[in-house]
Amino acid sequence: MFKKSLSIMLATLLGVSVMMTGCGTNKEVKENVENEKKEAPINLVWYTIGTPQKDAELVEEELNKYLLEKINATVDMKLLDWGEYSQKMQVKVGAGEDFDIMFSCSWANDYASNVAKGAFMPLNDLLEEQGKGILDTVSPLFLEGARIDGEIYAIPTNKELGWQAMWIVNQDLADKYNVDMKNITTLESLAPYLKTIKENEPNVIPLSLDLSNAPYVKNIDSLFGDQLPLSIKFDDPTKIVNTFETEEAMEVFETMYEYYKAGYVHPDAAINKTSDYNKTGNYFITKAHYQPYAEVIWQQGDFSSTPISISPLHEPFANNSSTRGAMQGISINSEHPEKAMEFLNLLYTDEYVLNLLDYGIEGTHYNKIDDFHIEKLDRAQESYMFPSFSIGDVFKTYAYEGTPDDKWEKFIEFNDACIEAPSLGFTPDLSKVKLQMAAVTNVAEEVTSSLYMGVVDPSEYVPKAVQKLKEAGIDEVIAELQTQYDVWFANKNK
Amino acid sequence: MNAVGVNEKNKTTLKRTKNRLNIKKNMAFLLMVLPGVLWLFLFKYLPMLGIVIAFKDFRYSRGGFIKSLFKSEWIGFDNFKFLFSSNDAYIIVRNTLGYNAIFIIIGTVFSVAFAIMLNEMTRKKLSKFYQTSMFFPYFLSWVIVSYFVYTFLSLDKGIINNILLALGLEKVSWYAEPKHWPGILIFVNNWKNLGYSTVFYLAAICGIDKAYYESAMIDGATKWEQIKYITIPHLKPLIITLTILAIGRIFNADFGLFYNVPKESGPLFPVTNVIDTYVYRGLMKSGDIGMSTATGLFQSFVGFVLIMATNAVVKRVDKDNAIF
Amino acid sequence: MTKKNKDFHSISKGADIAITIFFALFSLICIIPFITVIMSSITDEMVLRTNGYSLFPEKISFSAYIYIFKSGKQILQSFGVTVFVTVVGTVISVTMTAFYAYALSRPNFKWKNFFNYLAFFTMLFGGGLVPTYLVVTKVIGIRDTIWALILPIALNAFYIIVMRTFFKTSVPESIIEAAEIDGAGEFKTFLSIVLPISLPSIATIALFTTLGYWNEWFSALLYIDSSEYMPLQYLLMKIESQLEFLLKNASQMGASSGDASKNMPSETIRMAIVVISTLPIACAYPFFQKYFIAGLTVGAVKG
Repeated sequence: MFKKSLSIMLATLLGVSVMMTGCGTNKEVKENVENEKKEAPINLVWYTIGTPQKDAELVEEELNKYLLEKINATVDMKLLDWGEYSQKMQVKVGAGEDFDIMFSCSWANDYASNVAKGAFMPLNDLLEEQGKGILDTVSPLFLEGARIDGEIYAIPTNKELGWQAMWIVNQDLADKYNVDMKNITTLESLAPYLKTIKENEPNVIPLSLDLSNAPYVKNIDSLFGDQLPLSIKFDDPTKIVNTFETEEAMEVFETMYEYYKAGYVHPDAAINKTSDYNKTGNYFITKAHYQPYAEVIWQQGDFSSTPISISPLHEPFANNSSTRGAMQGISINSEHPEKAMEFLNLLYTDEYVLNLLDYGIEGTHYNKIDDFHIEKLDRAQESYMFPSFSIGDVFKTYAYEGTPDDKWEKFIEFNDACIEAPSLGFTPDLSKVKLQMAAVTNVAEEVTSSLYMGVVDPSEYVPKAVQKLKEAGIDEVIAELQTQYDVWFANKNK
Repeated sequence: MNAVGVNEKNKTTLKRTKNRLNIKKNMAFLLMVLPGVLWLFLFKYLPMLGIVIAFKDFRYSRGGFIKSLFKSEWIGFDNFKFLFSSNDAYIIVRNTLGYNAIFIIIGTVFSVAFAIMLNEMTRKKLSKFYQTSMFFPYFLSWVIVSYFVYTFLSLDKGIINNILLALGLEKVSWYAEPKHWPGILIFVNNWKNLGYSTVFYLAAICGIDKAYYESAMIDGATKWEQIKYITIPHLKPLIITLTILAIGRIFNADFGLFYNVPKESGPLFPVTNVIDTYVYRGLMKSGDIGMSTATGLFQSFVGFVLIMATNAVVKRVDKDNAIF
Repeated sequence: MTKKNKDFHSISKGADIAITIFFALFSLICIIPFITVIMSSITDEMVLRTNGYSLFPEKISFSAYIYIFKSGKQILQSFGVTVFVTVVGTVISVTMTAFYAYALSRPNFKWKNFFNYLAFFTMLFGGGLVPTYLVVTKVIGIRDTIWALILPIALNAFYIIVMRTFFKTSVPESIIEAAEIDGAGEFKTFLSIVLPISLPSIATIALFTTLGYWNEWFSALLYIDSSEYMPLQYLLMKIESQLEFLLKNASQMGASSGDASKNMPSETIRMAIVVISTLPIACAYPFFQKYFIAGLTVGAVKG
């Protein structure tokens, strides 16, 4: 019996002591939990474009160490490859997947259509609160391009503002045949040189243009890119026109037709995307988009087989496509929009974060030469290459050795010299004419490349093309666009 | 009288045992289909609830897919108009149906013929080698096939044009002239797929009891008669099954073939644009889920109607071989 | 019975020769493109750009393969993924399909019509990309795992129906009755009697399933983000679509397109990846071929 009471006593003692410690630990645990709650860092999931890199995790770790201290957050950066980015994001957005930030632009994961479908969180308020650095840094015309119905839905990279098409000439051939670069201006001006090359150099393509690199049509501000013939003329900015019905386009078609017949263009230009000739140097002249000192990059990269000279085709201008060349937006489903904006703000204000993402870890992927220049280490070539144009304020980033010191100054000059295209900031709502748009897109794809490459006789073909477009409903589309444009135009010029 | 009573008793006992056996059998069958049914439910029927997208103007709202679906506006059949509203509607439907019908006929005739021929060849090892090599095109993706076709048909240095020049004829701009393409596409499609479909019939021929042939031979039948009266009738169920199933997909075109091989050449669209490429091109930029789902639904529906109709016809003529 | 009766009245010599020659030609046009791919993968890059594809390259270079195997950790990883997915997937798929099809083929299965329709319906109708994606990622939760490459395509109603036809035509009812009389249950009958006779049809479906898994890249596109689970064909597709994308969009991308083409593998490397991802499976066919033998045991019953 004694034993029994002893055991009961022991049991009670045990129980009480357990309870006591339990309470004690509970209190401690509770305190810890509360402390943790105050400190729990937020993890942001970020989808962006680029080929996944081997050292991405390494860089991310380094980044997160810094971010934890600075904004109490970590970033889970997910790079999706170029060719699949749009498709994958379409499914993820469609399924309402959980993520915070995503890359978007005019040529991938299309900005305008995502805004129309409500995939992005409106940013005006967030920019005022956590994104002040962005508002201070980014050029106003960029923000203009990002605004749809007065609200910004994604933030553009602060880089070259506009587009300028540039002729690139194979200097070896130019020297051989005494070509004066001053005479290389318009498409028509090339005629005598193309003839000379054609007659004397059988293995060279005189005019290297193709599907992905169509000839420039002057005075035309294309609303949706080369593939759709809807545009506004620079010198008559009140009307929306069918590009194929303009004289400027007709001139280009006729010139290209002559050139194609004469054999200056590759026979399969309408179906080929031949950048191969550029790489091997078997071309005389081609064109590409310019940014200040692009010729340095070109000479080292795509056009390394011969020396090159450049000549501009037109004044740089900024339109929706150029200002929306790279943007980062916050998903409508994000649980932490404020923190996401804080992170994005860092991309425009914090040199360390920006260069860490762009170039990797100092000492591992690059070595600094001076304040501005860096030397790329071998490891970077294999394990860490990031598309620097896709984030932040490029004016705060380093540059590889050999880059002229005044690169960013030249950029600023370039940006200042950009004229505004009439359509900058105009984002039409196409839902009322979506059936016609689908039909028009199909017809456009059918007729565009043959005309631009000069494969067909424009005097016959253009009327036919216009007729087909009309049957597909392009006039209704133009009417709808015109209505919306008139309202927007009036507001803009108030 | 007693005997009759006993017989009846035996009959009922027999019946009862049979019933019990049947139940046991049916349980076993149910067990056999269980994994499949589970899979079908999860991966096919559950997502099918999403077909509702086809009838809505889908927009995203905070809270994920289901919430977005609820909040999106119901627009009935508006999304379906996309297929019929354009002038091209007739062309793309004609192309899709036309090509598929020809593919089915040529494919069936040739694969049955090939299977029989390969089976009859005396050099068996050679026959096996041929079977294996016929399979190779199936492995190549349409993108790679389109590169090859380009090597042949390129205006500049294409092989065919080189041959034409050597024969003193004019070069042909293949990618700009629609009239050649039905033939080209039919040839390329069969080249790629015949190896694959022949295998079905080869396997079926293997399943034919040799005893039939033996007794036929004893009766003095010629080879041709053996093929006509034994092989082909035995292949009939498979031919019918495969044909009916193919008819069910007659409204769906092989996207890879029609998109890649003609290299998206605009002038060829009148003979190369099919429903699937048309939808892809029209919706690529806007990514309108409602319209694309609606088109898919429409294609499925037509296929379904066609299969049921064909099946009903087959049932009239030859009951055993209908799918249902 | 007489097994040595190997030719029941064989075809005429003329016909035989004609057939042999015809198939020789056809095989040739089937193999040549593939050989061209192999040759292109060992052609020097610059030569390939200028001359295009050829069976007899001017200059041979193995640099594509050297590059792949040097930095080839990803390729080896993908190879492993593909093999695993193919083997496991085929086993799962063929098992489910065979059982389902067999039950459907038995006349005394009370609900065979219902299950027939159940399977067949899914051949035509589907919920679409996004709902399926949702089920796979949210309901089942296998996003970014290796099962996302196996399960979503593990069953194909087409194969079920075809196999059902195979079962009905190549297995005589008498055999099954004989088994029944011997007291065997359905499973036993299926496994020990029907299966051995149906080897050609099982092998056919297994072959196609294997091919399907080996070539599958769309599931990877949808469900896989991390490179450790990317199958071989998907790698190839990625490179192809990257090329197409850049070429199509270069004008829109402006100067940024330079960044994108930095990582582009050359033409020869692409060809080499095609060879690596196709050669193994091309050798699979002979493996399945040995099952295409006539049903020997059938004769036993007739006797």
